[in-house]
Amino acid sequence: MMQVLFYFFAAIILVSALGVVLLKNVVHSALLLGLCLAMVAGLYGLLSADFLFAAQVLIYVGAIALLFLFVVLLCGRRAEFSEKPLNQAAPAGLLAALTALALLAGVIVQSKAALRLIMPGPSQAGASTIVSIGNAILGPFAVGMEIVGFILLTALVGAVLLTKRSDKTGDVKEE
Amino acid sequence: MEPLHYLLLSAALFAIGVFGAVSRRNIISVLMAIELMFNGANLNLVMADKLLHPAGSLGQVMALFSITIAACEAVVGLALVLAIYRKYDTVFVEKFNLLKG
Repeated sequence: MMQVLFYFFAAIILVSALGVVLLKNVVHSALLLGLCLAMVAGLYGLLSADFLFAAQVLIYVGAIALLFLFVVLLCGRRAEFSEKPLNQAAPAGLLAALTALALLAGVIVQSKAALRLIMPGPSQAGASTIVSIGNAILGPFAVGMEIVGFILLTALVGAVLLTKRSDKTGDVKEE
Repeated sequence: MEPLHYLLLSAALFAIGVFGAVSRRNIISVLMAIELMFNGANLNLVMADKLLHPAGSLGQVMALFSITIAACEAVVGLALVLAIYRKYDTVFVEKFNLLKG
């Protein structure tokens, strides 16, 4: 059952990710990005990472994919949806992506024996990871969490500052 | 062998993201491809956590930090896209040549 679900999720992830990078229409890309992120959340569920499942659904599917849709709404044009989606660097990009994939897949396949050595048994079903994650981010990772909070605040202020109109012409602030 | 397939899937997701980030013309799609790369890395982190550290969830904490940083990156990136769109009236990356020598 887990195997079937994994291959189901994996197939949808790959197809929708290819759709994100290949489709002309940015709206379709944004919707497929939401689908892909939701399926990754499903994989987190299969890996019994329940807190990450919730975080992925709330942050990625609920916030980021929706944010992309809003930006497409604000600065997309229908005429631009029919222009060609890839630039002249596409062959080089394909080469770079295939090289990266070959390297990563080679290393992963090479490490098959080592992976089999450390294969864990089935983790204790039903045990929630929320307690251990909470202990970790308030214990050894407390400084990191404070820094992440500061980065979030900085991003908030930066986004407000960057999108603010300074005058009637709509130019961004120069100084 | 299923852990292997998880790792291969995350590598494939990362490679698709690399392709999209390099070769899309629309800058919104470039940011979307970067999100795909983030997701490949996060999936790898969670799988490695399950393999190497089955009792706890430290790798999941790392993935959580990564998700947060990705959210910051998306917000600032999209704000920049909006600002540039107001100035140049286009979303195609080849028109953004302010720093071209």
